[in-house]
Amino acid sequence: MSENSIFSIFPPAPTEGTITICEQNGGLVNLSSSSKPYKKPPSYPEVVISGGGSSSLTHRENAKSAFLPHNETVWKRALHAWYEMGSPGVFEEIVNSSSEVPDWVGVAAKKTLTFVRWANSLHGSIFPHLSMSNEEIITKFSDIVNWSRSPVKAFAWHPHTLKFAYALGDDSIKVHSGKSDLVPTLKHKLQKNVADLAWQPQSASVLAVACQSCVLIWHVEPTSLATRPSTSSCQVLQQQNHAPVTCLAWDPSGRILLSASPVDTSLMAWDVPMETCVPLRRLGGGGVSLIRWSPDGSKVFSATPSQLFRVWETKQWTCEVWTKCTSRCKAACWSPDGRTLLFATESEPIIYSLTFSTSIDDTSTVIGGSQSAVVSVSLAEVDLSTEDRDIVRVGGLVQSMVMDRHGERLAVTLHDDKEQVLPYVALFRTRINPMLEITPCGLIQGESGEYPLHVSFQPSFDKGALLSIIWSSGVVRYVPLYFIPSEEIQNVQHRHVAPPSLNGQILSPIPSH
Amino acid sequence: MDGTIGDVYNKEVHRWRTGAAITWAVITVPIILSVYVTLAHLDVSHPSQWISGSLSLLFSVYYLLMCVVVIFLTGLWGSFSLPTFIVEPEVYSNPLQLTASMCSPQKLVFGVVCVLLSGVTSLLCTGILDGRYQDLTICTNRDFCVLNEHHLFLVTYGCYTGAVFYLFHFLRQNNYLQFTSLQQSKYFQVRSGILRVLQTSLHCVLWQTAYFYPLYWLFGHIPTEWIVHSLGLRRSTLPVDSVYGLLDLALLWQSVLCGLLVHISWSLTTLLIKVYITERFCFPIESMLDDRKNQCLIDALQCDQNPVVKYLGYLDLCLLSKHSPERRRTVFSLSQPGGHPHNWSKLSTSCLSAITALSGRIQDANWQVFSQASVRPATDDVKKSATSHQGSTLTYRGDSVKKDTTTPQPAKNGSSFWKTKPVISYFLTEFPDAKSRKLFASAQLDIWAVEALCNLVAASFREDNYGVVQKTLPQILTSVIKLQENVEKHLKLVSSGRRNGGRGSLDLPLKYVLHSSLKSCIYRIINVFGAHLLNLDLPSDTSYKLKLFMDFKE
Repeated sequence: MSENSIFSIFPPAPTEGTITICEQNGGLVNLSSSSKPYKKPPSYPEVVISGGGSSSLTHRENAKSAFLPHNETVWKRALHAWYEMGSPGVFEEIVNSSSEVPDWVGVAAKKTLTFVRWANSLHGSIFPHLSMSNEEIITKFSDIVNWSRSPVKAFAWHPHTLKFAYALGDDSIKVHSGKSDLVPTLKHKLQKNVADLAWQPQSASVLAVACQSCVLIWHVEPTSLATRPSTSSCQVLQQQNHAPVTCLAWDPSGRILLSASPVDTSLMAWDVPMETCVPLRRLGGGGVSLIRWSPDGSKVFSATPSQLFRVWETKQWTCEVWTKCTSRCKAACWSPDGRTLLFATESEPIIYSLTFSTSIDDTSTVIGGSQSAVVSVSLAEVDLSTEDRDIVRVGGLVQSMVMDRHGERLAVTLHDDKEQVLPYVALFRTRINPMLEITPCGLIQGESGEYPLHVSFQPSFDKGALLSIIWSSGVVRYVPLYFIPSEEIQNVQHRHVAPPSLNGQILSPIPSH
Repeated sequence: MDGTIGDVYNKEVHRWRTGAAITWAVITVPIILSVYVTLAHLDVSHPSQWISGSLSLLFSVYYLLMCVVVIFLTGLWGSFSLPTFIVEPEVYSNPLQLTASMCSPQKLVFGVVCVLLSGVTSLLCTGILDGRYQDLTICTNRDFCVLNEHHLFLVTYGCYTGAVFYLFHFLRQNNYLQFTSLQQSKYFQVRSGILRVLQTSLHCVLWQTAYFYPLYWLFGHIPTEWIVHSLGLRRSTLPVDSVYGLLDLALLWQSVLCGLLVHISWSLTTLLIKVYITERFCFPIESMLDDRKNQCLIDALQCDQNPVVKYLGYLDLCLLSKHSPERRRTVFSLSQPGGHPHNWSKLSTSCLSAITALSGRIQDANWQVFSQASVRPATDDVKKSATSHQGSTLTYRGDSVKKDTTTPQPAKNGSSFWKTKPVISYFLTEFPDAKSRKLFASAQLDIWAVEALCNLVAASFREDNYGVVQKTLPQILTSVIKLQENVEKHLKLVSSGRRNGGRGSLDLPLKYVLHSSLKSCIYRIINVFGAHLLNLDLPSDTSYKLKLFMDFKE
């Protein structure tokens, strides 16, 4: 296996003590970190996310006990939990404080909780994730590394403009836009255990937040000078048995918001201004752990906590199912044209690809996915020499992966069998036309001792692609990758070959020879 | 064929759709009925007897006959309910109008049908139960018969259920056809709707039963005495309309089941009819056949005699602009011979006129709010009416301010005189959101029109080979931005917060939907065309607004 690993043909890893600045002329540029080489691109905000991650959970416990008198019995807390979250909340409260109740009550509550969650999501067999607490569920299914101890809980770029939001350990959300010093902080009493953030496309100000019990929709007015926007500008979308919400995806036209919870078999499709939702329920899988809407809007990928995933088409919302994965699908991304899906499972160091045929026909609702997924890249661990001839081990299982909007670069974070995250971000060059091709580009390194928590591409960067990485120290660094997308090159060539005669041909991406 | 599109649609599509819906509703009747029969004979102490008894009952002749009759009744109810379904919500400004509309002849006929059919259904139900409920009279010997008050109770309850269903059908807007945002297939739409039907039916039945008991206790003697008197019967020793007589769990169980039977079968019919009528229908964009010339999409958009056709037309336009490159090509194509973009200009004109009309209406309403808002009175006025203007400020709050200024003035004309009388004033006080709802009642059409236009404009960037869209682009941008400004102003003027939360009318959020889809449509055009838009010849206020949008400042 390891002979086929793509890392055996990787360029040498950056030397210890250097830091990756950018990609230029087809190669990654690393400079010594002692010379303070890192300069953020102009007009990008400088962000260091502080707040010890590990303290955040205990912090929450402390806050709770500070406000509630200690003589309050577990039963009273259970009553409060019932007001807040309904009957599952009661059982959860009892399970959490099982030392204060008689043994049999604790055991019974735990069993009932398992049963309630099992019964709430109609499926055939008991899945292990149903008996976990909300925090454990989010930690397992979030794409942030080590969610429960990470200083940042979620991160999202605005799809059109230079703006991003991130959630902190104390459940507040900060919104940075451009170089502006004004950083609004969003807080709401229902905003607990934020697992995902998503900006509405085709809009300037709407942010969806996946919380423990609901989905919150914030309207962050760009012209407002308030640092603490009022909670009255916030919509609450709540649905029974649809909690905790761990993944969100907007329709690229901004009309529909999908939300998923690993304990609910149905995917909720929200009409946000109407505040109504349509459940998309299919049997099997035991929940929905990951959703990705293809950038062209035609398909939606939804993974379940079991070895099964689905791809929906968005005209009539029918779906195709892929079973027989070796394990749960952990990370996935779409190519920009919505014809290729890359995904990785929890147990294999492999990126699979799945291709879809496009249909121009209006009435047909064929998804046209290929019968079986193809192994695109093997990421098995190999020894790789660094620039100064040291040896490092590189490779492992995929933690998360993202593709830029041109379909030219793919960034992957990896971890080994012991959940130890690789201190590099692996960067690949990709071609999606005429068929998928993944070639190595290089490894991106931070300061020594740092490992990546979250990677994402800035969606509106116009000189290639810009990768933003949140490192474990809480620093957000931007790595601009300067290149000219092949699509543009083709268009330029085309213009030279055939001078435009009709209006339509200028824009046609197909060269006429 | 010379018929207009409305007639042809009714003949060729609507009948089939409603027919199919009612057929499916009728098919579910035996299932619901068998569950009913099983539950009605529930006997916890003798489970084996209960199961065998209900099984034998399910294969009896009476059950089959009952099935046939209930199927007929459900079908009848379905066909009577068809004209009550509306695509545009009815908005009443005060309780008086609401009462008047509930008493309009067509609705009353439907109400009577509901009461009768529900009564007959409950009569049939009593037939399948055991002797305690079966007959109206119990004759102990040849001399006299005793009125079976349990039977009477159930039948009265059945009629009452029909009346409640009739009221809910209109008051809870169960007759309002809402188009879903996802075009799922009918099977999945019905499947995800069934659970809701069961929940709301159970809720309604429990609610109505809680009110029926005191009502029967108070007025139960009227039908009882009347029947006893006219048939020359005797009353039983334990009258049901007494407190002790009503404390009968078996009777409660039977009446709840009977109510559930009626509610579930009719709500399911409603659900099926809604799903079938609101299903997307593909109208042709142009037709080569002469007799189909007036059956195209543009005719559907202008079909005022049948609002369902108009709504389906706009829905189809919106979906084609989103999903089908093939049909978009026809929209952008030129006529042969002549080379005119007839399809595009017709469609865009009709969408634009809808948008401009709404824009004008909202602007008028905004001005009205402005003009009604009180301003600080001139200095000599202050002395005269210092007390009467206490509540008025410079903030514009629409209706509330209006009340402040009108109530203190002496009543001169009729309506303001009546408004001071206690009970009548209740019937004349305006519903708080009535004006806004009336303004946005048909907003669904405009939402589709805006989305269709913007999707077509966005698609034209790559697909419009002849540049037919470019000529209308400034006009489209101007009217969409104008409407956006007016809606935003209206929302700021009329509603204080974003939402008041809780359950309101189903059409209440339409203005928010319109607001958000206007914004996303403008952004969509901007994101596709980018800086090219600045080269357009736009009025200065539009281009100023457009600049704001381009900087993502809205």
